[in-house]
Amino acid sequence: MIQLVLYAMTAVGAFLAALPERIRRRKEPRLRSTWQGCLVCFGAGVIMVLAAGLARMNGQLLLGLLQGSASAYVFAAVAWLAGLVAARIKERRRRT
Amino acid sequence: MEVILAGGAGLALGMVMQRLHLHRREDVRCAVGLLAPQVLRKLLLALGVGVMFTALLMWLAVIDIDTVAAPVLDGGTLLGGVVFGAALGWSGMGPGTSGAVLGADRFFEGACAVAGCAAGALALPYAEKAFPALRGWLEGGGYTLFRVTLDEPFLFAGGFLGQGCVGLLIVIAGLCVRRAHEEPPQEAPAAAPAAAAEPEDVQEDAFVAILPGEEPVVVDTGEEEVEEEDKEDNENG
Repeated sequence: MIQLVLYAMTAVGAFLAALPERIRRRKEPRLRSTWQGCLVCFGAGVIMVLAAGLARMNGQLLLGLLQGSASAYVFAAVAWLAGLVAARIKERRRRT
Repeated sequence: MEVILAGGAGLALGMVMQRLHLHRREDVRCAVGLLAPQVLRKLLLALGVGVMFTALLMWLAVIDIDTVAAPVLDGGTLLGGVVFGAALGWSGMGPGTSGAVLGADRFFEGACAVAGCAAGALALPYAEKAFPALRGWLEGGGYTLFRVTLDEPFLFAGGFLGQGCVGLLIVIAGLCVRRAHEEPPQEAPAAAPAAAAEPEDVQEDAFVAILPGEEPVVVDTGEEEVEEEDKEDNENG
């Protein structure tokens, strides 16, 4: 219940923080969702929750980093290295 | 009371995520790929300051160290990290930032991300049956970097001070990221040349060089003498 409230209020907080900029740029064209983006987001959400569960890091990553857990630092380092490669490949494909 | 605290923390977290541009998938992807150093710098600074303050609060016993748990480091940590990072780098969002994506411009992408996380959470109990085989290729244990708990094994001596130094190192790393990609400072535009003190003294065929803060220097180009010589040659010739 607490985690659900935290998660829901995160969206509310992001919406409220973005509100002034939205009002200021209300006449400019807004970013719109694409079906490819929706598909990528759904798949990435499933995969990441399962991967975090495999590493026993569901909800523990940030806590582990702050409290000095060795496995959290190893997980973050490995994830960043893999993310670096994936992000570079994706950006290269997007720009070509 | 806990629900109210969680709501307030979530509200603040969402605002911070929006200010850090974590709701923009492109920015997150570029930060992970070291293509947006300003975002990476903010993330490292936030993490480093958080680690330092957590170490301080643990040392002051504000945070109960009995609640600190060290997850097991084994093959699942490495394998899960690779899969998690690849998905993060490809999509540009994580389970934590999907809420911020939901509250930003691209509502439907955020909704799909939240739905994907929920689907993953529902599938997790079934996937747990296959996890022991994926974790077993590397045996390990639960460690903390420094001795910050009473009974968990630790890797280095140093206690809370060492943990705070780790946060300091992360902060320094964040500052170095900014410096490494900093553009060279642009030179200040040159001051407009001051008007000649006495314009009537300046001849038409003279080149005037004026430096800031200096008296005007009049340089005779010699063109007048050349023209006079040409006239004399023409008259004689």
